[in-house]
Amino acid sequence: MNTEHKSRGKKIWLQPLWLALPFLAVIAFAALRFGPTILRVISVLIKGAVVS
Amino acid sequence: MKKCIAWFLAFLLTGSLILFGVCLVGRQVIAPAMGDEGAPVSESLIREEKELARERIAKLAELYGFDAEPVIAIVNDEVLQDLNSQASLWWSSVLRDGKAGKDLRWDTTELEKVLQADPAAQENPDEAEYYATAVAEEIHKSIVNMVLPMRQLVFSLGLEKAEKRIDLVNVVEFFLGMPWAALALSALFAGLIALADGQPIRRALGYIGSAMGAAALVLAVIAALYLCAGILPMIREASAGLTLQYQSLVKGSLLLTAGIVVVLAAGCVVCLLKSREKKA
Repeated sequence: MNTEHKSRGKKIWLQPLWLALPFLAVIAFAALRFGPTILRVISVLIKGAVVS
Repeated sequence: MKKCIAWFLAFLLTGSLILFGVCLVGRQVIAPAMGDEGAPVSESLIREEKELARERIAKLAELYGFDAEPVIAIVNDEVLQDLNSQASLWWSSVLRDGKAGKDLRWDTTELEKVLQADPAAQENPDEAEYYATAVAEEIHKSIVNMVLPMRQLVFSLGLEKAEKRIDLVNVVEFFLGMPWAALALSALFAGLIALADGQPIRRALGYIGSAMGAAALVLAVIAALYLCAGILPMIREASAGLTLQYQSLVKGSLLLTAGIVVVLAAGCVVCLLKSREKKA
């Protein structure tokens, strides 16, 4: 009984992680797929719009 | 079934809390520039810009042969404060009207007088006035470019083109209201969770706490990714003046992000502990 409570207690702290996983997966996919392109666009925009 | 609905609502609550965090940070960046007098300028920024102005004037002095110190004395805190206020109004005009604002200017009469009296100008007294005007214009351009390092013509053209596709002013106003809309949505989802699987109410705290923890985690990851993206080196390469302004802006945004993450994480811990109390 006590062991069951302990394992439940530990599980509860993993719930936020499971809930965050879909969002983290989308962010990771977007960062890998579109990250380099977005950074290139930002770099071009900075070079084009900023004067030293 | 109840549990499934509650977890789905917790997922939506996580999304709305993430939206709230991201939009609140964005709002903090944009909102100060929306006032009639533009964003307030910090004293530390003025101090750092003064150092940068000193370096720029020293380089120009080397190039044109004038004495740098009297010129550096003219580009004082008051001048930089005024230029920064004008730059702030320029941004305000972009955000509020969707148009680039007026060009930045500061009165260079005193500067011209000092340059005219400089030994370099006095070497050829007939051309002293021309020399003073030309060099003052160069100094003016350099200082203005330091405070507002934007190609204003490119910006105007870009804004004109963008205006044909989107109503920038409405988009900005919509964005400013987004954090509160996301917060209201979060409250709604939390209430729905309590309705779906909130008997006893401590059960609902488990879902709400998990959503808060998940949102804190995702926001921390977004902030870390942003810091790793390497935007600062790009800006540093482009302009030293913009780097100072960007750093001061990012410092405030990161502090706010850290604050939101801490509040959400604390909420997560409290809610999960409360929900566990019943089980134990």
